[in-house]
Amino acid sequence: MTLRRLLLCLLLLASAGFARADAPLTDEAPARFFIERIDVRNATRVSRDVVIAESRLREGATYSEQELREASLRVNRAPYLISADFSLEKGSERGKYVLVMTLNETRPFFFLLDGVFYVARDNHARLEYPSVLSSDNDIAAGFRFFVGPRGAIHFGIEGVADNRSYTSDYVTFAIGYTEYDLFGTRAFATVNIKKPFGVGGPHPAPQVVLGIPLSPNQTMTLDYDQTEFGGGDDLRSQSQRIFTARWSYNTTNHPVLPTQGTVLTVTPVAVWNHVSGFDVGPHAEHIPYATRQRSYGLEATAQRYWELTERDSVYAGVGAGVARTFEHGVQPLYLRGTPETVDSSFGIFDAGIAHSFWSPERVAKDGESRVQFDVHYGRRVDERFGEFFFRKPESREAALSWVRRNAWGTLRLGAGYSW
Amino acid sequence: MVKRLAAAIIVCVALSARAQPRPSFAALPGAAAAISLPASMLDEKAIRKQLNSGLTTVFLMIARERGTRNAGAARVEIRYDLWDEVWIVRKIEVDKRIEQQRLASFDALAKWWKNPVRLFVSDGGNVVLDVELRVLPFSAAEERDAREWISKSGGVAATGGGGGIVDALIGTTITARPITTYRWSVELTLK
Repeated sequence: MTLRRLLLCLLLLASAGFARADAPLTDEAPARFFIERIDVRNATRVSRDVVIAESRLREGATYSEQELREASLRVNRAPYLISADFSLEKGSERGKYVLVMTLNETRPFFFLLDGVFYVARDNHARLEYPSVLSSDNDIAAGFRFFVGPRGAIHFGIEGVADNRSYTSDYVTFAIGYTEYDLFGTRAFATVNIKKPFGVGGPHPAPQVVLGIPLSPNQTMTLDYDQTEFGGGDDLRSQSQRIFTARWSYNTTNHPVLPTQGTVLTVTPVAVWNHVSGFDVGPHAEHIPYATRQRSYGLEATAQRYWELTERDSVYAGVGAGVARTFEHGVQPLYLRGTPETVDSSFGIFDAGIAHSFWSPERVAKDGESRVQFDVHYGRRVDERFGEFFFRKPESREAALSWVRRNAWGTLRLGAGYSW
Repeated sequence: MVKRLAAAIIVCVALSARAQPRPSFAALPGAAAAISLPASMLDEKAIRKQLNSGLTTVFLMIARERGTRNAGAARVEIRYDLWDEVWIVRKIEVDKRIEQQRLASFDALAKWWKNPVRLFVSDGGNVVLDVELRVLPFSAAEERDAREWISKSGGVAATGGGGGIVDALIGTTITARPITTYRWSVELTLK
């Protein structure tokens, strides 16, 4: 009896041994990996801790491939990387793994220039309708360098534009500091000091951004942005404060030129504007004015990118926003008699197709070189300003452009038609 | 002079063109088309790098019948288990038949890899198939929720006739950027 049991045990052990190799499986559960350590390789300028924080992964935790894939997409969206490869290696003991992230970094200098020349059908100047895709930054250039394990200093110039009729667009010089992985929470905070160009004004103003990860794909970004325009000898000065709380869901694979994934955003907006100055009357007399505006709005965008082949992709995006502005005080002459409570809204639609000249392997190594065709429709409505302010309420555009991204930055050059 | 220029252009094109590994196709009983992939494909630099990553490599095959809306698909997933030192493979054919195995060596994997994969079924007759193979990083196995959600919406299920086409097409839209893509055309007589 004992011998039979022994033989049975040996048979079971032998069959188990064979089952490990060249054997059919009935139901393979999704693999999960205990990540003992995260090894960041080829990081010469970028901080290892920052990259790990960006992945939102933690050493000593177990992850599925889906979670690692989401982390890979997150890291590949980091603007300071061209690409990042993920792979696993054996850990210190059976069942434990080392997650290896192999980086291809960008240079400390960065630029973003969206330079498309548009021909307009009529005499109206072309409207600068920011698209869903580049809602607030068509130009940027500067330096970024990492300090300490979790910090980064940046300085440069950036353009700030949006679809709101109740805020002012501008180009500014900014210097700032970002601290990643705040208190070990994977959150980040950025403090900027900004000084707009070409609008006078002696006062730099602060911007504070706090990004709070809600899940691997969701982030809440709180942004307080103060800007001072004019002042000094100018006829008009303006102090603008914008507070936004943006919820975003992002599964795209690239910070600037995604080819697959989804982006959803919902953004409550609160804006306070204090405008003061004086008009010059018919007898050269000064007629002072001073108004305070409070605006409350809600905005939402949705974008989807589809990869047709490894080189071709299409996208479509929609966005909309509504707002109500309350105004108090003495208005400038050209606005006197207009309502003190103003509703405004905007709607935008974007779609396009892109073809990469490079294979995915070269894209991961060198960046991107592609041609794309984009169409855009935008409509803005403001009860007070109407066509006076916007020239025309609608914009229809089509553009063909070449886009190049490398370790230094992203350049888009092309020509378009606006009607 | 013109001949020399033409010859130079031909040489340049030949040098710049990537040698595409050519699979073999076969008509199987049940009016099915099968693809047998060459082992040399596993040795391609980008594919081998992903195979050695310890993460899953997905091979997504889509066959479209030329001139019709008929389509079929199949998927092969390969992951090297670093600790057991075995290749874990999973194959889903056009009729959703699933085969999973653990293979002890790369040679065993290469042998298994060459087995025919059923990727298209029709009513029979002559068909011209345009076949596309995408190599994708990471597993698509855990995207069930998204697949079900989109399948229920009817948008993708209606575009293809094959049984696995929903899985295949959704896989291409949700998973990461392909590592590489191959395309072939073949004419078969299915019975």
